[in-house]
Amino acid sequence: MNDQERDLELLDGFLSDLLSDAEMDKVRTRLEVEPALRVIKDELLQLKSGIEAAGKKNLMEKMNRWDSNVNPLISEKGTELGNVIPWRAYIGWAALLVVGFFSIFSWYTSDGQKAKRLYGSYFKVYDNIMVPTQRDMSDEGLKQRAFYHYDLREYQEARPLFEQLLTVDNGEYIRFYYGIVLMALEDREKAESVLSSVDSDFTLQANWYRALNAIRQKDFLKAKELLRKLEEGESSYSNNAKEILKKLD
Amino acid sequence: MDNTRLIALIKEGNDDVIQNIYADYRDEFIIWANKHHQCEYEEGREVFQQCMVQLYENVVSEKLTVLSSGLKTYLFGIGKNKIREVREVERKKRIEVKGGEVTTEEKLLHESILDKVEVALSQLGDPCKKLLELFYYRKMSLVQITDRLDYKNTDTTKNLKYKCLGRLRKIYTGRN
Repeated sequence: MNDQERDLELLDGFLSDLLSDAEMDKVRTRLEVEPALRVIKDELLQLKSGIEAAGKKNLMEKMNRWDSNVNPLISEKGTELGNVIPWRAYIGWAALLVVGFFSIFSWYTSDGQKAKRLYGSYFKVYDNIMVPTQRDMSDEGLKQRAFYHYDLREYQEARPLFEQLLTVDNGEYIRFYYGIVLMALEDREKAESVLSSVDSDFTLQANWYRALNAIRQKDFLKAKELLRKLEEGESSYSNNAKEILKKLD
Repeated sequence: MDNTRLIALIKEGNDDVIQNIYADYRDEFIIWANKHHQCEYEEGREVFQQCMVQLYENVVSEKLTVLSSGLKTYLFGIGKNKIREVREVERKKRIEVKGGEVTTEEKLLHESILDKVEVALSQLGDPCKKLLELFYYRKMSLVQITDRLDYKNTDTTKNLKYKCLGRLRKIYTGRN
């Protein structure tokens, strides 16, 4: 192996957390003082994610080949989806639905259901656009690990990491994402307290989520107040805010 | 075949098992997705392929080692989440179109990196391409790869792996 290949081996072990503590420290020190090694590390990360993406693509292509060569598709068997579905069974269900319609309607329009329904239609976890993460984060810092679990929607795991992170970095966006974690875990009061403290670049987003949180808590007055502010602005939340306000009136 | 054996075979990279699972559940999934989530035929098929990829990746990364429920329940569970994700992406796109937003630069950059690596991989060719895929995507050990690609021993495989990686990097960056 030449020097370059040895460096690749070392960095590969470093990124996969396969080195001893002493070796990891040695690599970290080298990375601090050798910009060329940092470049190789970044390139290696790109290559690994590219190889993974290509592997995934290969698997998909293989399945497409199975579709065409091995196992005929439903459509090729001369069966349309509509014929596969047992429509006759639906007639019975339809009759039952008509009978139960009015009782369901009154239940559906109650405040609790309205809150659930609206919240369910509009709540979507905000994408992580701040901290890039990758599959193996075992050797990365607290912030990367918190966002790694966030990306995987593992909010129970993400919550303590964000709480720990906030003790060392009280940045606006970290508080914002922590608020989203709390909402995903349905800790609504704490989510409101955290999101209401978010300012600057994430105010709009925070207000949108606070409005949804208020809806879920059936606090429609507070929700309307926040939504009106969003409706007046020119953000991408404006139309949704308008829609919800109509539904709440 | 019991689930433990099934997982072991997927982990070994047994394509026949993966193909059997695909053939066993594909149609049922497409019908289920149409009935319960109004997925068109092609959409259902694509989502099912994504479910299979997810199943495979969870097994090889050892996120999935035991199936407490049945395989079908597990696959359809993934499918339900995938459909939800697809709907969310569609909704987001609609909002972006309305709001006049564009795809983020970071996303484009990430996609262009993946495309560039893919081109470099195809220039690299086999057996290097195969070896790197088996190691980094299929998460096979050097012992398994040595056996599968019929190399002399694991040291040979390991040396070759870094030679291949070095060559790939050279093609990818255009530097020595």
